[in-house]
Amino acid sequence: MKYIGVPTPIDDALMKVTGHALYGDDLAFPNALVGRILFSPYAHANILSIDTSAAEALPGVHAVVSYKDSPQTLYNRIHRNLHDTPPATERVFDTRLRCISDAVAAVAADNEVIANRAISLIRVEYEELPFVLDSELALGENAPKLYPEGNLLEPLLTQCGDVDTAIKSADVVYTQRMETKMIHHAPIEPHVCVAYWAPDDNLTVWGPQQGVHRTQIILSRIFGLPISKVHYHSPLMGGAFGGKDGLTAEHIAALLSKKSGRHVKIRFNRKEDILCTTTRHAAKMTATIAALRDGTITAIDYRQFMNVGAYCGGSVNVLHAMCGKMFKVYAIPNMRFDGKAVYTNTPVGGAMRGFGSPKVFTAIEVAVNQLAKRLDIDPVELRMKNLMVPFAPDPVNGSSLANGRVRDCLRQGAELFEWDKKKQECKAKSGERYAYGVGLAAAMHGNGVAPFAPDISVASIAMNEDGTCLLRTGNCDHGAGTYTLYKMIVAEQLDMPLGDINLIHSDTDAGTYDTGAGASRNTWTGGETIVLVARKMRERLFSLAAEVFGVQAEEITLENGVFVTKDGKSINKTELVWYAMDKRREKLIETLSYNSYYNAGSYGVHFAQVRVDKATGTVRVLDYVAACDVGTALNPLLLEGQVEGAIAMGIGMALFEEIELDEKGRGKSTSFRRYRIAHAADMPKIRIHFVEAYEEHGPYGGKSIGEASIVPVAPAIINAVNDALGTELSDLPLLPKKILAALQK
Amino acid sequence: MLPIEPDEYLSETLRAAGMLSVRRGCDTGMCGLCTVLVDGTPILSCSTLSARTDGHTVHTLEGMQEEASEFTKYLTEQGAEQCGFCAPGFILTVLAMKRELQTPTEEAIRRYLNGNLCRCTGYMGQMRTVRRYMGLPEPEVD
Amino acid sequence: MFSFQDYAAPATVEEALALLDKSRKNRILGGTAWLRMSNLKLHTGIDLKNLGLNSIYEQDGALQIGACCTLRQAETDPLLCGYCGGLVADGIFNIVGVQFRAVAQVGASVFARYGFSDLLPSLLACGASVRLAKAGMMPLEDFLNRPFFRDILLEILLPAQNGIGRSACLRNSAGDFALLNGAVYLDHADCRIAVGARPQCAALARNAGEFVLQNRGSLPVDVLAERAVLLASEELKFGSNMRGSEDYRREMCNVLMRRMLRPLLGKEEGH
Repeated sequence: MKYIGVPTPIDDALMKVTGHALYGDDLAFPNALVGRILFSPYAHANILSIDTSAAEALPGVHAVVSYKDSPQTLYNRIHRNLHDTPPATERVFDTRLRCISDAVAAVAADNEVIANRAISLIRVEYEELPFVLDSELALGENAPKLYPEGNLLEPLLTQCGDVDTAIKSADVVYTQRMETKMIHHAPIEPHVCVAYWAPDDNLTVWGPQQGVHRTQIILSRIFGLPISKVHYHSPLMGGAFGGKDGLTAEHIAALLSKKSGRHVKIRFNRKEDILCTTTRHAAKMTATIAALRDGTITAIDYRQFMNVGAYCGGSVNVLHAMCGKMFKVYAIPNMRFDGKAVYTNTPVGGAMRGFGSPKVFTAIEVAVNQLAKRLDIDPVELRMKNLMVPFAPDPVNGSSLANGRVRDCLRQGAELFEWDKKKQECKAKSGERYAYGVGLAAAMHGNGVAPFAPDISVASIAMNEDGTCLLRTGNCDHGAGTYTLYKMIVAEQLDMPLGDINLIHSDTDAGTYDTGAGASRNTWTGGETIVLVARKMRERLFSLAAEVFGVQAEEITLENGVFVTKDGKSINKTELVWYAMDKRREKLIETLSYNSYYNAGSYGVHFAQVRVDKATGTVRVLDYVAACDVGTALNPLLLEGQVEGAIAMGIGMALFEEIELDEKGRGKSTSFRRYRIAHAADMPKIRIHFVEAYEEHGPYGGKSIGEASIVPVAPAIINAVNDALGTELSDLPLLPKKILAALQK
Repeated sequence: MLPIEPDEYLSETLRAAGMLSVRRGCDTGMCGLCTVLVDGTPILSCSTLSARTDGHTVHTLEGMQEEASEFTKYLTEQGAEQCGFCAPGFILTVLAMKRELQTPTEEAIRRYLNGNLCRCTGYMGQMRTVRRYMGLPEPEVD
Repeated sequence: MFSFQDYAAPATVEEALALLDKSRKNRILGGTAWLRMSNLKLHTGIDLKNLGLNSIYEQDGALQIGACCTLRQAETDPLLCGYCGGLVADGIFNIVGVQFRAVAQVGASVFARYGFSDLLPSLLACGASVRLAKAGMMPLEDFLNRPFFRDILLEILLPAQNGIGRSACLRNSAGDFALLNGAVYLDHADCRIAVGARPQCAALARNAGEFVLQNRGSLPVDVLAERAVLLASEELKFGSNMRGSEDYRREMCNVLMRRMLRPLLGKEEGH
């Protein structure tokens, strides 16, 4: 193939490296105002009264809004579509504040200085309410209730086989308790949006958004507008990782715009981005694994309390998604997922890279290594004995697990990492000061939202009069290179350079419909849609060429961008476009709506070598191998970039990332000083290996990588630390103080 | 001359003047996105008063296109660009590093670039690019 | 949000002092990186940039660091890099990034007495003094022990000495603030041990330093170091914050001190 499989830089790299690429913060509008939000100072409170008169009187202030101006529609900040009805308990402004990310009031002013001053002039009388921050405690009988019906959002019990009997009759049983903390997506571009409520009641929003259509729907619901009057444009995005999915401040900007009649821009500072968007959920988990002496794992029993925060958001979906994944990695007859999603008065949990998978697999994979130790079996061998085989049936619903190549990842990854050799070396190298260890983890993530919901992408290709083309998609590129891939696919199908393809994206007016850029849909569903629509255009061009030359389409070939007959006659795309215009009076355009009915797994096995300073408890990841089941490596260059970025994020998750709250539920992690993400100096040597085994239903046999590649990182590192120290560390993140405490036990 | 408030910070002044490559990422001087060169030295424009730079030469990426072109070509080829939001600050820091350090070690490079945060790439593509630009070999594991 | 109404860059120290004394709402600006994160609302921000305080120079073996030198200037200055084995310069590079250090100023870092400062332990270990516009010269240690007072820090003075020093710090991740830092200076007549980010402002462990000085040569290095570590742990106060608890800091202080002291006393750390 000419384009697919060829390492290809991101399509707009030139704009990015020259600094000319425009992001949400760069969009300028005439007479635009700056919006700022007053957030709740309490984890749980009622607003008794609010006085905004001083703020309103401040020169340069054009609108102040609070619950007094707020529509009373209840909504959920994220849905998949209009008929998706997750619990709706949020209002734009409410008198009841359930966490510190709740908005109390907002102002729009000529500039940020005036807006901040106005915020400080708002006087609010609060009634503090009892609060709860822990998901397990929140289910206690006397726990403060966020909602009259209680704090349990969703219980989920799914199982196969007979777990209890299997555990009773096992030779070895190991139970792993684990806690993971709230984590910040930390896209390097903080959240930003601009809203304009026009006099004719058309509401337009500009801002980085993973799901323009689904968020358009929520806005239409909140404000009682027909969908046709809500317009959403997502510009270039400075990273998202799940954090720019659904409503953040767009509804507040809209309300301020409605009141002021002006464009209103709200840009979060980093404190707000950490505490007032969404987070990766905190969870308390228990994974019990049972095995026979020979290393046959007979049961996995997984229980968890997942901290939803104050509002549902996407949490029900996260719970169901992680449950589904758990059954897809090991061929074990008896498995049980018993999870509870629980409301507490913390910031809201939402979608984040991996969508629940990192939690479930961190607990299980750390437990598997502890089990291996107790069985005295090498953890690579133990996994090899128990991992799923391609096309095995899902033990819960019987559907095919497709061409999941986790065993190949394990075998080939172990070889590249030199697992056996490294394992011995670590033992030999460990001394008075440093302990060395190796660890690995196997895991997976899905592709799309099928079969649970419509998984629709729409695309269109229109040929321009000079033979170049315009591609329309509804998908949104987080910054990972989705659009580059789409252009590569069109280039491959129509045999034209990437530069000849213009792209319109993530825009409810000018783009096409899309379910949204989440659930690892961009390559899997979006990519396949592009393949299909480009193939349609390809066939159209072939049949036109055949018509021109009076031959069958099969007798024509496409060579170097030109259609050629067997006897050497040729016609290029420009000529075909004009043939259609002149002779047939047609504009060449093809549109296609595609739904993905299939959901393959993207598997991965990661290997880490660490060095732990035994006196200080500091961990350095030294060497890392990621073996990734990608179907087809569609764009190896950006695939590698995805995996490397995931490893950095996973190192943070394993070792230092945590949104800390104080005892009253207020945020302590208020900046990049207090919320640490990986720096260049934290990174190990990394080698990435792609296992390529064609995945049917994916574009050119390819499948997702971005989410799948973060799932095994934290458990691989934790396992390496435990290997180095002989510990059973499981409380994330593994800060030096925790490691030291474990060593002193 | 640009009109400024007495307590205005340089990043705001530059953005208001249309230098949009100066990005805002953390508001606390921790991310390096707003890096510009003042008399050739990389500084955080979010933490520098505009008034203080009176009489000094300020370069943003907009004004460094030619000097940056070799490095940015490598960046692109290495796939080191993803979302691109951190690119301008990072590029300016690397250009200053090249002028400042003649034959740096791997460690010296990591130290120099430690103030530029990136969430997409894990810094790996960036480091490969920097090594190529500085003429350094790939490092071994400790 | 930090703000002020007037910006002034006086041409003399006297003018700067007069402005400072005029109102409690007038302040010296320093590097403005930290001030920016405060909520101070000032009348006049006083910039010392025209006072010629931005160089590092040598006089009879002693070094003088102007208050307006940036941290970046200090860490790259050849004089400072050669002073006491690079003790002062080495303590700095861990602070955030080069861009930040090119903004933050030495004088402001000292005057503000930031607990997390990676500079203060090294300066204390060197036996630095400070020169203030009103209060004149005083040892840095005395300055740090005095309650805050309104004055202008002009220079930091490092004495002429030929010993060697070492600094160390502990961080939860690269680029984060230190959860503990320290520095040791040693020559034939002095041993100064300073520990900072406890999380309180850096302080000298005088008893430990004195003990090393009295007993070096007579006690084996391991014993000497261990006893010194114990003494420091007794005489220094530690506290808790989000980066670490009091107990953890005390324990880490022992580790850092061992790692600084033993090589200085002639014994390399094992692996």
